[in-house]
Amino acid sequence: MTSSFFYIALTLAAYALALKASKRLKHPLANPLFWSAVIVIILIYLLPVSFEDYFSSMTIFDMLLLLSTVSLAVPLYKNLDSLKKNALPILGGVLVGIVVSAGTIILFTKLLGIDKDLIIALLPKSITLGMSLPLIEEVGGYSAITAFSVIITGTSGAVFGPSILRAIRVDDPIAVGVALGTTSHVSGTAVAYEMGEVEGSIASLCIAITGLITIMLFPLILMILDALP
Amino acid sequence: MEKLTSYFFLFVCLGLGSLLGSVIDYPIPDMIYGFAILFIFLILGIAKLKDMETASVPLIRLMPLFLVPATVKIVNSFPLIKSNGFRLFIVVMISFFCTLVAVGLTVKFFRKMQNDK
Repeated sequence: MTSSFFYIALTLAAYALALKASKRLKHPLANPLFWSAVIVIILIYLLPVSFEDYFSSMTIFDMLLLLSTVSLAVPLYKNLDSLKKNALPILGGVLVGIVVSAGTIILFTKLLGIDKDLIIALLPKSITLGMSLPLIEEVGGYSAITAFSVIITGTSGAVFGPSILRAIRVDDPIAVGVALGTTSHVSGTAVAYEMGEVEGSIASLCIAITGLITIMLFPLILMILDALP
Repeated sequence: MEKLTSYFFLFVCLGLGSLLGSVIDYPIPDMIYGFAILFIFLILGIAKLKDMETASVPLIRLMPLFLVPATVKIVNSFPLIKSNGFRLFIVVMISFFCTLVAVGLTVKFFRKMQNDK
């Protein structure tokens, strides 16, 4: 029962099930990642197995995640032309996104009196889990809280993103793509692709760019956070 | 054969990335160096786009699957989330909304500038 293969099979089955359900239901809240995690958690609770054994069996997934995240360089390279043609809007949007995201998090967590360690864990909410988790682990923070905020942000983008953008009259495909990709990474990009090819490919570009720039600026952001009351 | 070569390249980039990471003192994950190395290999033509896509396309498509264990890890912090969850949720939602709006309007503004030229 505690063989690694059992846990791997469990994860694959849960994901296959959640994926099927999301395709059948076609609703953004039917996020396969979220629901497969829920299924796995419930099953591990109910069955005579332990979470420790589960996590130690998942190193192959960690390695695949690394490979998958590194390979984000490929679509970035592929879409280099689009990036060059729209460098100012895209980079401008990404930078504004990073500043507003960090700024609003710091502002509202301070207002609510939230612990600094939790603030740090919330900061990378706009970068994909494949990059935000290693980043938080690198600085020694609460990676579970980061996962929590990244998933909420991603799902919110998929569920509310298009309607919010429509409400503020942002309909330029590149603006939509940058907004969804920068704010809601993989889930945002999936929704962007449903709106159009341009929106989708720009969004996927922005996952990588937002991730890279946020990571490079992170030590600076932490310094600013330290300097605040 | 392309698939094997492309996966080989990914491992090489990750390996070189961790080498660089052990040498450079800046606190960023080694994987980012690997990312940069792969990007440079693509620009220099050492790695071919078509070949790399045989690996990158399925890997990226399956990224949510690879994220499942990391997501399950949230259970380790249930106590933290129970005591702070609601406040954290509010902050994240406000921040999400502000960021989405700010980015959307910014890019719209720059695009208008571009098109008016």
